[in-house]
Amino acid sequence: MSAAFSAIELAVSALTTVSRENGGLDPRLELALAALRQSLWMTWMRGKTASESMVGWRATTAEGVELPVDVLIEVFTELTPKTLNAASAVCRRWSDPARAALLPFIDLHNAERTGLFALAALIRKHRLGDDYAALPPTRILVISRPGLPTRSVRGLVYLLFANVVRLEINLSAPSVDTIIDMSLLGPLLIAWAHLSYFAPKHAYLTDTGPAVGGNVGRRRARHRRLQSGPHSLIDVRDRRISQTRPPYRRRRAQQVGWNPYGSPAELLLSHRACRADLKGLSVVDMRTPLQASLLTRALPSLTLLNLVTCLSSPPPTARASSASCSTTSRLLGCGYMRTPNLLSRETSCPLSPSAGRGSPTSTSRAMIGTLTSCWRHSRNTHRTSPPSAFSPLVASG
Amino acid sequence: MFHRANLRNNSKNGRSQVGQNRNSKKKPVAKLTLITEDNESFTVCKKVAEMSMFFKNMLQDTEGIPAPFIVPNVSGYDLKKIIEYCSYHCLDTDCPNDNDSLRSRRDRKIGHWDETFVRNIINKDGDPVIDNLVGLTKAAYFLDIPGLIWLMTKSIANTIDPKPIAEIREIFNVPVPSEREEEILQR
Repeated sequence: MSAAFSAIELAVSALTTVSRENGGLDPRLELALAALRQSLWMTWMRGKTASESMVGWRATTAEGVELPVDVLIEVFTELTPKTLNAASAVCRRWSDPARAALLPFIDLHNAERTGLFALAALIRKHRLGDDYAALPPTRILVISRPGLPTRSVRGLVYLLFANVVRLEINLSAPSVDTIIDMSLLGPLLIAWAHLSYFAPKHAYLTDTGPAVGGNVGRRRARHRRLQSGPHSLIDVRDRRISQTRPPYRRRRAQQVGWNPYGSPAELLLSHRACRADLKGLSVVDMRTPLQASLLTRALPSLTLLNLVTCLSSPPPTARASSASCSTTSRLLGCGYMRTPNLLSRETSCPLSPSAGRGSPTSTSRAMIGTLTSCWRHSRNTHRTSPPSAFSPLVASG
Repeated sequence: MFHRANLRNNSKNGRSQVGQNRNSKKKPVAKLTLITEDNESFTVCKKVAEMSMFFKNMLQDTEGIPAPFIVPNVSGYDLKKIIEYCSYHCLDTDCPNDNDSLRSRRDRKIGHWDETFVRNIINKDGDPVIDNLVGLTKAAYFLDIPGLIWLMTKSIANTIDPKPIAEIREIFNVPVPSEREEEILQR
């Protein structure tokens, strides 16, 4: 009886979905749908006992599981994540809406769970409807520990987190164990077109990971050669990219959004591939030679900037680069000049004492000094439209 | 501020007349007769009935007041409570509707009258029973009353929010699943 009821219910819901999508059904199917609804109604009425149908106070029968899915979704939007976790395991009918309600806020703990979560969500996407698949609902993503997705699940994660608005990387303390590879984070930042707030805290960002189909040693050597050459890094590499025809694997990598010629952080710098406009950037105790890249990418439409102990010292495992500090200042400067919105908004750039290795104080002072001078310059010149990308860097270099 | 229509339930002859306005002498108020699945009859004024999108669309389609309308999926108790809610909120412009954003719906607080209304639904002899709340939610969903759906979902959420799985199952009388099904759900 219950199996037949479920089958009829399933058929009715499927036909209703098709009818909504196509704006109607074939008259025969409409007739079949009406008949199914009628039989569903009769089955439901037959299953009701006299005590249930009596007027007044209802007997204690299980009706919670019979709540319509739309109502369940409404209920679950009001619940906390902890209760949603519990609700997702109450029964099968509650499982999908509860998991869907969990999606807007995700706190990743490790890479394995990321992959499993993405897979589970994608498997369920048809059950949750095409609207869900078309508009990934995750808006806030918090990475508490190094929970960045691995390469194998990256494609799945892109789909799942394509609408992320706020990304927080909140590691307990920067150490060798908590290094975040920019070859993983960079493409994610590029893929998330709606990202408006980025807050890395207590993190090391590096570009030690290999590019797709590339060789780590060769890439590093090329990187060093480009840095020490007579021209600026970006000009030379752009020229090489334009002159060289990439092999198939690289072409394929470019098609899926990768730049095999350099680290994704450089991709942020050199290409205008980032569609997102960051409105808020909060950097607390972050150490990376690539921070300038991130900041430059972020600054054009920034309205909230919070820099606390933002260091350009390399991670403990890498050798310190003397060029990184000056590059940081220049990039910050040119980026800040392109940020008219920030002038009238809340800005806090405190000079924090050193919190580790490297020379943080001098770096921070240099950054703040550059910011201040560029702010004055931009006020004097009333520069409202951003210049062509990175031309100030080339001029100053 | 609110228009509070009369709610008068004549239990002797099993008929209820709801929504009669005191100013009805001046201008005749269009009324609608509703018959529930348990053959209880209610009479509501058109303004109150139009709180429900279901009735509103029906009245627009029929271009007038139809004959007594049978509401199949709604019991007498549920319809009585629905009419009570709609009579209070029929002139309330601040009622939640489908156009509200998710955030505004979430941040909205339950009003004092609504709180009393819900407390009267879920309490009988001091025991919280959720069956009536769920039944009323389903009825509100069937009749498509956005404000009442929001109130009911908020109340259900407040009822189950801080509770573990076992307690939620107990509240809704959900049978404990088998081990295999439990494993699937946990996965």
